[in-house]
Amino acid sequence: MALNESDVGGPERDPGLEQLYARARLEEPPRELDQAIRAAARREAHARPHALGARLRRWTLPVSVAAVVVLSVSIVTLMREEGAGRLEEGFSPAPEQPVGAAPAPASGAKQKAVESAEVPQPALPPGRAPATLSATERTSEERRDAPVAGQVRPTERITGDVRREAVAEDKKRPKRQEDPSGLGATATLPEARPARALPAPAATLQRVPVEAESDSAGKRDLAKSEGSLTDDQFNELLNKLEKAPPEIWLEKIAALRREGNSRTADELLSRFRRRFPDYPLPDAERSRGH
Amino acid sequence: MLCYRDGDAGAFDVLYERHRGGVYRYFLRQCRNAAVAEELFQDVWMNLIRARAAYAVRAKFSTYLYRLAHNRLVDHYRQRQPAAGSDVAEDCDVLESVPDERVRPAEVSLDLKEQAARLMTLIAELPHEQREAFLLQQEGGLTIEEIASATGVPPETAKSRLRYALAKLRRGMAPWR
Repeated sequence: MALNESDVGGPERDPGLEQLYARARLEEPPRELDQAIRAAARREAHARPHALGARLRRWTLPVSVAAVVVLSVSIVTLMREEGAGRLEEGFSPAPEQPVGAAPAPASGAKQKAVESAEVPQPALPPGRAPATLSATERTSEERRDAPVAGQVRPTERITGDVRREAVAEDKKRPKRQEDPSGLGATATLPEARPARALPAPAATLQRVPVEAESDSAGKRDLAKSEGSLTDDQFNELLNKLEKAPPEIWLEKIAALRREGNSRTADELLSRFRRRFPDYPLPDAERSRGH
Repeated sequence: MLCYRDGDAGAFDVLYERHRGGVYRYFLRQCRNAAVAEELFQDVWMNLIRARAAYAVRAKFSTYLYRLAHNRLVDHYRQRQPAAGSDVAEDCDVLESVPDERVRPAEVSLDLKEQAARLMTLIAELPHEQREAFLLQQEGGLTIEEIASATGVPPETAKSRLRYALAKLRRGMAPWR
């Protein structure tokens, strides 16, 4: 039954053949087989109506997509709210804690329990055990130690000695206004202990220097921080040295070093190097790494 | 199938009723042995039932079902004739002698039943791949692309097989049409 290529070039359907074949399709699976398969299907459906694995598999993709979308929207929203500058600041190294600044406020009962265990009670009069305090004295002590709303109590997280100092300071302060109604702790006046101001977040964050800013400006800022020449003084000095020979520049730099203005001297030296690149530096400056 | 996967047993009855005849005849025409066809038919449906939890919609259900049937048939051939490849002829218990289509019974007017019987004989004579393509089209209602997907061949191959099958059947049935 060899066929030529032309014989198979026709369409993939033949209505006449299909009609004839449809008439011949009489075979059916046995009824017993049908019943057995249907029964197995029902058993399986009732045995594991909600397979956990199948449910998890079904939800894997939607949950993943939803998580990605939520994350993306959150990041975009955050960037809009915070701004690019704020994000840039977020990558700067953590600023040093200012000396004497209040640590983060303690939170939670557990933290308080630890603190109360660490902090010794204030000195009592000799011969009096803590249990012998009268009710009014205890109330007074508790009131004194009770945190005022909005107040940060750094002494709670430091050592017992510092805590004792704080208690002593409290005693030196003018006596707080007594509660005329006798309501006890609920009548504690906030003004009795003024809240210590926390450093503002903007003050604690330090801006990361950007390369676009001029190098000299940054160095002048450093010089100013050391108490050296101000901008105006420095500019005035530069104007004076504008037409001076290199020897005068070096003398001035040496004078600045003697005075302890090393930052300004460095800055002036860099100007000098730019202005007189071929002029040999004295040994003292060369030994400094210039 | 999604309803059945989610625990609706009634949905399976609908599916089964829709496809039971086609799948059964697919096996029966392929191996031409009722007992083997029933065994393979049952295996396919049981595989479907067992794998329902992992079912995901990637194609038409009929394509999925006939892919299971195709795979089961291939497994059957491999078990029976590991060295003979996929030649189905030796697997068949009953191989009718096919009358030569060139000998036209001129005086014999065949009725439709006889024509159908002749067609069945010609189908049985087809090579396995061409017969499978024809059966998938007729019993499963699959398109060229779906036949290709079910049998794991490129669409052009499936199309070629189907064309060859139809051409042979047309040629074999020509004297009686």
